[in-house]
Amino acid sequence: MNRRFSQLVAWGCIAILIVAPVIALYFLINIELFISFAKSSLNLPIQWQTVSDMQWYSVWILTLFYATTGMAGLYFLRRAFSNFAKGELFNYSNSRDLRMFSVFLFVQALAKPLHFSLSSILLSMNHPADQKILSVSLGSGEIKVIALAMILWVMSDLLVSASKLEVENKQFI
Amino acid sequence: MPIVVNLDVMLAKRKVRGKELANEIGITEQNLSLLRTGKVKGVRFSTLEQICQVLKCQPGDILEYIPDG
Repeated sequence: MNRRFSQLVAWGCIAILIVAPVIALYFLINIELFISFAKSSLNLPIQWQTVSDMQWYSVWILTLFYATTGMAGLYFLRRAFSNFAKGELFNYSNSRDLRMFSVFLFVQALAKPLHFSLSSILLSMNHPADQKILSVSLGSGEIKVIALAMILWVMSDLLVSASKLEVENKQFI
Repeated sequence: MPIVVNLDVMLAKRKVRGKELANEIGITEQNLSLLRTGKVKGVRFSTLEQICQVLKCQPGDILEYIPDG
């Protein structure tokens, strides 16, 4: 059951890793769709008529960087779960992959408010001088993910240390 | 490394084959081979005890300290 579940998680990661860049490219080609998506998700008092195409492309690049952090984390998660599915449990490589996933999860959780703030600056750049917006958003959701990432980071670090000890122990006859 | 494993010498003296020793003390031939060539970080007291028991020798007959240089 655990192996099947691990395989399912690995496939899920692969699917996201394939689909996400396609969506990103589609958004680049069809920037209007990206604009409508961004307008609905960014709940900011932006004067949309002042936003130029260049600004939207900048927001797209910013979002791409943010999403890439998550994709990098998923790549390492896929590797670990793919090995779990093969029956290779907590060896050094898997522990290291889990640690990398937690590091990227942590970075992405920190990057989320930063992405929001930078987006608000970018989109309000053409506003009159006293109406530019810097929006900082740090909700309980972000704090939860940061806490979870920190716990995962510590636990995976312990696993890495345990794997090293196991390897060292094997060198004693 | 200044610690030299003289297990080969003791095996020859006692006319015991590596395979027999490995079977007696319950370790794999591969691990015994690593021990004979000194390619291990350490030997457990329990392993040393069993080797000494089978080969009827002292730990000093198997391990020797030779200073570097």
